Amino acid sequence: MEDFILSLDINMLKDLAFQLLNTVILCAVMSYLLYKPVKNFLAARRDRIEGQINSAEGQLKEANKMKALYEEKLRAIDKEKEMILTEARNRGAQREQEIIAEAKLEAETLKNRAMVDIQREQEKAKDEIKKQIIEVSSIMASRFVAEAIDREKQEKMVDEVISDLGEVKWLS
Amino acid sequence: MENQFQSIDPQAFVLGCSAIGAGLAVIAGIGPGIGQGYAAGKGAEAVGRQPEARGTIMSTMLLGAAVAETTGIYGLVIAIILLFANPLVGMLS
Amino acid sequence: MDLSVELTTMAEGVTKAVSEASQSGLDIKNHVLVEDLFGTGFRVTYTHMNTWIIMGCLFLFAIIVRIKLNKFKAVPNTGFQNFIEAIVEAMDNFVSSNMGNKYSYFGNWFFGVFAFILISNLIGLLGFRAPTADLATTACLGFSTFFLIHFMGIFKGRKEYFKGYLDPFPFWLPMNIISELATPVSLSFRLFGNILGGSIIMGLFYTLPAYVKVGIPAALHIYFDVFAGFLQTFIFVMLSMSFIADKIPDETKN
Repeated sequence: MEDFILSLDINMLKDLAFQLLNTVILCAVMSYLLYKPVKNFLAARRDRIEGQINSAEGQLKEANKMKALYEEKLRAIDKEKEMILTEARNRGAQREQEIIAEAKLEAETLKNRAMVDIQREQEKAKDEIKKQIIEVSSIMASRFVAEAIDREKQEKMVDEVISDLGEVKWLS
Repeated sequence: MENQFQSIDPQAFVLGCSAIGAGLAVIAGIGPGIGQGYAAGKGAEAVGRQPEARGTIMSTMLLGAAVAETTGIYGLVIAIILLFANPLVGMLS
Repeated sequence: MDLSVELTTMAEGVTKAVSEASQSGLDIKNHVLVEDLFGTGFRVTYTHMNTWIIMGCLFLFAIIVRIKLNKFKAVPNTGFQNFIEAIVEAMDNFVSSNMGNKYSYFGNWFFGVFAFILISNLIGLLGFRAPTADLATTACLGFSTFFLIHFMGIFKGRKEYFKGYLDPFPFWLPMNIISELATPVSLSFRLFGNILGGSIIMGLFYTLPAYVKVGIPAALHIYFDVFAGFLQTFIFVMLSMSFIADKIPDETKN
């Protein structure tokens, strides 16, 4: 049981072999239990994050494509809307014109018809009046005949009739 | 004079000379001291010139300093051998 | 000799060493606890006992991590998980930046070596004798690096490896062989000399009278155990990686 600090003999070589065994066991166990599992864990996590980033990038690209597509569509819809609106406005204006024209036409025809009716009524009235005049004349004539004897009477009667008829100016 | 030398124990003589030898051996520490100081100065200069490469300069400097230290360590090991595992005493018998 | 006798002698050795240490301050000597372990011819010293203590702590830690790993979340929410992830990731980056991405599997070896050397150097703070202050430990680490250097050199780039020995001109071969042999020696002596030198200086300081031993040893421990310990661990692992990576042809690294 001697103490030593540095011994350069066969025992040192035996210690060396012993320590080599210890070190190899230590490194093997540390590698098996600690280093390799943790490294694998880190590598797996890195791979997973890389995959997530890649898929996120893919999805972003897809989303951008979709966005562009929808923007295109929206722009087309805007144009279409504008077109439809102008078309509708044009059609409305046209229709308005048509309606006005139709209304004018109808009004014209109605007016014409009314004119014709008035004309006809006038004619009718004229005829009636003529007929009445004739009747009155015939009645007068009969009265003349009945009272032909009396000149004065006759004249008086004529004046009467004429004053009766004198009021009727619309015949002229 | 002759009597004096004859009365010296040979083992004590060897041990004393070994101690002197050990003291001389650690003079080897001068070289690595100068060398490492020079390396550290150059490293500081390099960091001053290129602060962004600090890590690389540091590890390279340490590597060089460690290699430069070798001779000093050899001297130290020889001193330790002379003091604690003296092979010369064994040669006496 | 059976186990109880071994344990009894070990306990007696520890008691004797502790009583000696309490008399003479810090004990920097390595004590033999068991001369002949189970008749195999191997002895058990403080180095081995402290190595086993460190191994036990690290195994416990590793088992705890292994159990807790199943509960780890994708987004870390505990300090423990952050710590584990940080050390493993730091080691992985360290190996990858020194040896190339393809050889990051060396992290399996260097992670254990790093943890072992670091805790060995820091264990002096608790009053244990650092296993790295024994040449056997550091030489075993240096030898493993030496083995890895030449194994990878022959395995990965046979042509370059053997051509490297005749590099400037063929008769430089002995010099190249000596420099190859000096690599593990300098690696192991650097670690050993630093840690043992630090503990010798502290041991000398602890033999001083009691009134200078208030407060000042704390600074010494911070420098020699924490700072030097950390730095030497880092340098050992980094130099090992650089030496191994040097022998691997560059084109196979990525």
